[in-house]
Amino acid sequence: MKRIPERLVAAASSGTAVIYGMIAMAAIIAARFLPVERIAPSCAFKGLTGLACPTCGATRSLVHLAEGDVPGAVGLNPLFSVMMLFAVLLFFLGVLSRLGTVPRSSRPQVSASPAQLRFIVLALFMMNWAYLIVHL
Amino acid sequence: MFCPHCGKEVNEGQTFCHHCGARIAQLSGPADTVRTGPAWEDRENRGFFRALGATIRESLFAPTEFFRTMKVAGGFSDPLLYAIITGMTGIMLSFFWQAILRDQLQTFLPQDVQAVDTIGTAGMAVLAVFTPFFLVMGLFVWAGGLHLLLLMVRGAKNGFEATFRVAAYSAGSLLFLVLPFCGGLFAVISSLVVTIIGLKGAHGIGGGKAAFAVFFPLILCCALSVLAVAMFISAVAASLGALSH
Repeated sequence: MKRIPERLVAAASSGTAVIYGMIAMAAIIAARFLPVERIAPSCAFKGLTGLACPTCGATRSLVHLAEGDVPGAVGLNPLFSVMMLFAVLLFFLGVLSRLGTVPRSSRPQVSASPAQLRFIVLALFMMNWAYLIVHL
Repeated sequence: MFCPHCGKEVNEGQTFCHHCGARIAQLSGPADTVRTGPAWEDRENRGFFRALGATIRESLFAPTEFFRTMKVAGGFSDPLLYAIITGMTGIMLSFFWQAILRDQLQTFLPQDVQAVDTIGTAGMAVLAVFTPFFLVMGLFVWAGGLHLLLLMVRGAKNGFEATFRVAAYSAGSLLFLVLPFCGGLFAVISSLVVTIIGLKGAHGIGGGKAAFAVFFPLILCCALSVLAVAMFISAVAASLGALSH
């Protein structure tokens, strides 16, 4: 079996990562059993401009994730879907590291500089938005 | 200078506090600021209700001083408990008003807005049970978003815990929900103002960066905010129209 990357385990070892993982899990479970698509309002930004907003498709993507349709979810809002899946992964890794199944790690979680991180976050956000404008 | 964790005096340039062991090198803020508050975290000495009352009063009506002296580290549990107590009090009383006044309010609302009200009293009771969970989850999501945006504008001078504490102690604004009709509007405005002042004080940054972090998620959640504002305006307009006849 392949070793789990230590940086990932370090991220999961943080308490806040587990909390965010739990929130992602709760959202997916809620989408599985509640009619969230009917409750969620339609996007006013798209209604006014005809263009998708940066969060467009997130609710539908959540419903697809809840149904186990990962490609469908990624197709609707790639950044949101990947973030949700990552949070769920951190949740399980965090729980396992607390149970002792996976060794805990305090290794620094990122090696990029703050400026590089800011650029990466902004680039991902803009690329995701561009994708949504083209596809939704 | 003083340790932002325990509030005791430490030598200038010291990396760790020799009283409590907290790391202080990365924590920033005005050098002469003594971060000893809030009163809520001293409730063992002050008493539960006195500490709660003082924290609500200071955070809502003297937020600049409150957040300038708020400890930016020391655990999540105290601020979380404060947010749950104040938030639940406000939300439960707003449910109470909705249950009592819904029938009266419905008569003032236009037909298409009346159709939106499909939750009913039983649904409201179920919602009330889940409210503490929504509150806690919402707090973490809100604090996470704020901190990410602060990082983007180099405004996160202190750690995530400082941002979380601002979000949690700003939840006292939800107490305005005890007011019927206009409570929601007061709560939203107060929450935004207190959060901006809180981020300024806790991270030692300018108002522009703090305002960006607070307002950007609202622009992102355009659909929700526009819908909420539209519903509020239509409800007020319909009510005023009915009263004027």
